[in-house]
Amino acid sequence: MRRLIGRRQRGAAVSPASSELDVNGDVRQVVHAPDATLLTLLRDDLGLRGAKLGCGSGECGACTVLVDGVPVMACVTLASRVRGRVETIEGLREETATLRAAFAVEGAFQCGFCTPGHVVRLAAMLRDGDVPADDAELRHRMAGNICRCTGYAAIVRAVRAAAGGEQDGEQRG
Amino acid sequence: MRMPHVRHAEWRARTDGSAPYTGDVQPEHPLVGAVLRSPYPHARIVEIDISSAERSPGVHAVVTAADLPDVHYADYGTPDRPALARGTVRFVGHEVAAVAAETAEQARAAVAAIRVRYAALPRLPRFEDALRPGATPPRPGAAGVAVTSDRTFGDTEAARARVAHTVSGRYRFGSQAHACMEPHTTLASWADGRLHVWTPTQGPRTQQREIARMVGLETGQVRVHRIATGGDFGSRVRPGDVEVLAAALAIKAGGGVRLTLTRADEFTHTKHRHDFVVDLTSTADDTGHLISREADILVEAGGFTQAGGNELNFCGLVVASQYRLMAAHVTGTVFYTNRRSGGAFRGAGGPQAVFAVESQLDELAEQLGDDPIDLRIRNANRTGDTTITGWQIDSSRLVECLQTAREKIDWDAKRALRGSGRGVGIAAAVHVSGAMSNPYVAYSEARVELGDDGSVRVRTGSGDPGTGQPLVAGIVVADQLGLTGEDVEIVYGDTDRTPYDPGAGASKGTFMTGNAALGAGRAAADRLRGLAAEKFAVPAVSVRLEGGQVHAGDDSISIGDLVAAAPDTVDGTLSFDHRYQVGLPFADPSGFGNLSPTYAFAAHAVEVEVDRATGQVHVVRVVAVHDSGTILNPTGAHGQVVGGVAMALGAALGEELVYCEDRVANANYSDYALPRAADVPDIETVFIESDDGCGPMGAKGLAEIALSPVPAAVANAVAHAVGVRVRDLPITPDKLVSALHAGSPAPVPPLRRRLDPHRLWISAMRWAYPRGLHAVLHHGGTRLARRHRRPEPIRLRTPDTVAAATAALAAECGTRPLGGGTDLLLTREQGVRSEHVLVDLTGVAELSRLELTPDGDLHIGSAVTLDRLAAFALDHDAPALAATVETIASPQIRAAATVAGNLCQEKRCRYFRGGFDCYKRGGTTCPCYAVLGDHRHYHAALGAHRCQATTPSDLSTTLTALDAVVHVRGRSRARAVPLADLYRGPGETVLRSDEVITHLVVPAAALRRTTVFEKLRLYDGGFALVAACVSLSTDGGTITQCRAVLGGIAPTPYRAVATEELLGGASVRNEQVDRAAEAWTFEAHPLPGTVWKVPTASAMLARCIRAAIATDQDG
Repeated sequence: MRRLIGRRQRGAAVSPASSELDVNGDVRQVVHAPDATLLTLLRDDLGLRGAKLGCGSGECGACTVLVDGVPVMACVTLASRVRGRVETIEGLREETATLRAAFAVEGAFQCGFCTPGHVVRLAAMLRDGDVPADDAELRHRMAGNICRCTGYAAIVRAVRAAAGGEQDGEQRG
Repeated sequence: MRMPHVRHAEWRARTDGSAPYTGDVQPEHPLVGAVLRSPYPHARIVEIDISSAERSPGVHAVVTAADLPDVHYADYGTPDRPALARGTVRFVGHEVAAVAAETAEQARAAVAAIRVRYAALPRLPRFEDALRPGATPPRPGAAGVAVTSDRTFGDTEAARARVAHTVSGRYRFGSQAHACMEPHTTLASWADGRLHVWTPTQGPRTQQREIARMVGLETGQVRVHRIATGGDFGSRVRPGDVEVLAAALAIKAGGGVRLTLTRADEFTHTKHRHDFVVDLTSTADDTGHLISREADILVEAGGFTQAGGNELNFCGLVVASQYRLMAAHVTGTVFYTNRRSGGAFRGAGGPQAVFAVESQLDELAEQLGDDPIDLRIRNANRTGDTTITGWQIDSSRLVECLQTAREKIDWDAKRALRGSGRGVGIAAAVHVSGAMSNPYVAYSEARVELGDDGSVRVRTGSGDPGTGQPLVAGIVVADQLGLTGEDVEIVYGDTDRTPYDPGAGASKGTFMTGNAALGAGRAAADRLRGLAAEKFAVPAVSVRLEGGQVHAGDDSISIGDLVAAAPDTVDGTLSFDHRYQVGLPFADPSGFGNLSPTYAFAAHAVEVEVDRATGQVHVVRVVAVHDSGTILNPTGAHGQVVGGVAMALGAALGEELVYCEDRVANANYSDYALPRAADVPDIETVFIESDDGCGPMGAKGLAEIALSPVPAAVANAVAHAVGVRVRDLPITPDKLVSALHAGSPAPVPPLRRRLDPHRLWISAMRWAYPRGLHAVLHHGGTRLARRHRRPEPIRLRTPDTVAAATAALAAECGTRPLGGGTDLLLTREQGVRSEHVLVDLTGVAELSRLELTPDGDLHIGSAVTLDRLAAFALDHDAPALAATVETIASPQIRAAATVAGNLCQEKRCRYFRGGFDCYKRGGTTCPCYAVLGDHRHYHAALGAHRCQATTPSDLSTTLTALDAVVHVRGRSRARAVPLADLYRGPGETVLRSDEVITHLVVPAAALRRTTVFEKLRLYDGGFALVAACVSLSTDGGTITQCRAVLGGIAPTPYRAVATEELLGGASVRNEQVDRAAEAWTFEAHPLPGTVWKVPTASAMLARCIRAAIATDQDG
């Protein structure tokens, strides 16, 4: 249990970048590493930990946030390039209340790690009134969000319920 | 009885992002952990020098095996793995030391500062070596053999006399990754003589006990805190990959340390499903009754056994227990190899057994001329049976499951479709509800607390990886007290605040936690009834509990008031404890005995559509019928089945870990074909409920059996649809196409072609690779490989004109244009691109122009995003372009990715990107790992040189067919190149460092043609295995213009000129189309694994040509 307090020091300094970001309506000036992704900045600098780091390569969707209303992968978005309005799950709590309640009723989450990403992605669809009537098309639009637990069917039912239509509605069995 | 649907107790927090996972917990100043891993598959550690790492800036602790007690993980009965390598390393990535520092960079630097001297040891034989015909049978105790087993059940002699039919085969269920959405993360903190641990797990108590033992503490000194768990599936029910390392670092540093694995670590270094091969023989008599099975099960352990012995044991028992048999002889071996180790995985050997048994049953039915479902029903395990392995089946609805599946899938009508490309298949399974292997799994405790405010709380030590196991405790307690599940507060997980529970595993969660909670809930209810009976002077049996009230005749009182009035209420709470103990004897080494208190059954029927041209299996529908007794949590149960079926469809159709030089090569979600939403069909779940079993209210296990039948049902359906049986999972297009084309001769190139010097040279190289060239290049050549340093931090340039952009590109070294950045950032991480001055083109207005010019040409600015292009193409009568874009990645990526970025993306070769010092990455002295590695899916079948990669851009395929011209501007000049000439190699362009693509022009004439695009991929949004695009116009019955382009088949987009020539001016007759579609194949020069791509690409071309002709003539 040797403590090496005397040697505590930061690594070699890299000149930091500074970005002004509109996150959930709050405009914040954040100083960050030049390589920082939007996800790092949200989680580590702004303490918004609803978006998750699942892969870090834009493949799983657990980090999905909206930039100007469009779902993007925050883990492959350079923080210093973000110009638009960022919305995270924290900022979408109220707007997604119906959808989230439907997630609960349908069992559309299990471990929940991918869930904020799904909810954010689907929130954009619901906001735009753009939930495809055809299940295959709806599922195709969910291609950016992996879920390892649910097999997706309950998520499809939940977004249908939130959209208020039964459309192609899948069977619960 | 039917239980109501109940919402998960934590639904708000788990849907709104506020549920804390281990990575979200923010203690004060946690240190960052990092691991030093072995670069060698097998070596002796001669010396470890950590002195300079300890002196590195910000470092608080460095641990090696010397810091830990000399103990091994207990895991599942074969304790052979220490937490850090002790003396030898056994696989690439083996943990040698760990570091805790203040920042991730410091931790990484300190890891790099640890000096280890290794002495190479001979590599153990590979698993494939044990599978070769004539391989030496393993001996117990021999080098490389971890576990062996040889068991006989039933009456072999009597059985032998009745055998009339025999079927044999080898069935392989390859290694699958758990791929939990939350990567392994442990936060450990040492404070006041106790170790606090936050770690995702389905077994908090097992983690507590094992972590304590591994670091030399008493169990009670470790507190595992409740924390949300982002999936487990067996991967972290016991510590193994990060937990103990974080704990050891925390203790040594005297503070908090978080150790987090990356997704690549997750795929490369953590547990996975053991690779299983089952050599199986099944026999039956003349009346269609099963007689016996003989199985030899081969299991790859990897560096350590972990759960290998356990999974072998269970696999063998299922082989001998499923259906009524007279006898079974099961042998098995778990092999050590120098690959990372397998571990517990949902199903624990059961799915592997079921795949073999149920595939073979269909083969037997075929031989018997029997209906597969009739055969299964005739031989099904029924209530009251004792299997030859000693399993006492106290409750079975297997027959009903099979009958229901038959009805729901419309079996009898659909069996008539045989050979039509559409087919149905069935498979059944049996599974335990807990396996009684040691004292720790045989009991569970629960406490119910009734508050004088009317509150009801249940405490259970179970975890919740998403299965809702604690909710089961709430549901059964609520049922006893006349409440609903949502009325009960559930306290779970935290080892300081809950009683003992063995956690999930072997499908015992519902059974154990449920029975413990049921006992405590029953005691609480009895007590309330007693109190009310006394108060109102009525018999206790007449007291009813309902809606928080206790009713006695006309009187009633609330639970809270009754509790307040009870004499033994302490601090306003009445508590009831219950310990549930399973009374079965522990597993016998002979394997004979009643392994589980009760057994679950299932039958799954699957309908598939098989594309003979591409070998793609489309699962149309799954009917999953389960006998899991009473369904306590219907919402959760449906979720377990649908999720389990989806996970098993992954194993059946796409998921496999690919190794190269004993390292996992496909360590990311792009290259690991896990099902996306569109890949999972409609799954109908049916529960045949019953309450005659000994589970809580008659409930049995469910989560694991949901996987078991799926792969065999799919294989059986595929065999029914196209007459090809695949016994080697996953059933990928290459395997089906190869089987469907077995026996048909490969096209022979003309002599002139065969004597082409370049082709001869490549053939000679390929010939030499397995004969020593690969070894020389791999062992020797890579020593001269270019070394990649971590790229410098990004400097962003944001020009607003093209001139400024080209000036910025030319101004310094290490510049590169930046589009959406969705791939460029990744390639920097992967070490394949090192540029750090990134010139952002998305701010240059000119580059975002997207319009039809007055001449009708399509002008596509290079910085136009893919989703914008798709929308525009759809609105402007270019459906093939829109369709192409729609197949690329995902909506989130298409929203950011640009056209030029897509065209210029680096090759996706898993070896190149996965850190192998390959020819392209390391230089000319290095091998192409694809030549001898797995190259079936993403490598070339034509025109490859020393590198076998392909250009991954689908847009390049379609835009080539559309005669797109690329306009390029550099500092001093502008030029235009046809898209086909943009590429000089796989994902490599002719662009100079100061040049940017400004735009592409698709000529109006090309837009007027009819264009059809088709792509074969392993999952929705996946990269093309083969892509085809045909663009043509017809006049009357004649094709006037034609372009035929293939993607995924050659290093660059390939124009099938021979096809175009045959079609140009030709009449549109059917046979002409087939001949033309194959005309290019004389140029093919496939690797052994890409031979299948040639007929596939031809068939896809033919289909595109036909579709284009039909559409063009309609239009």
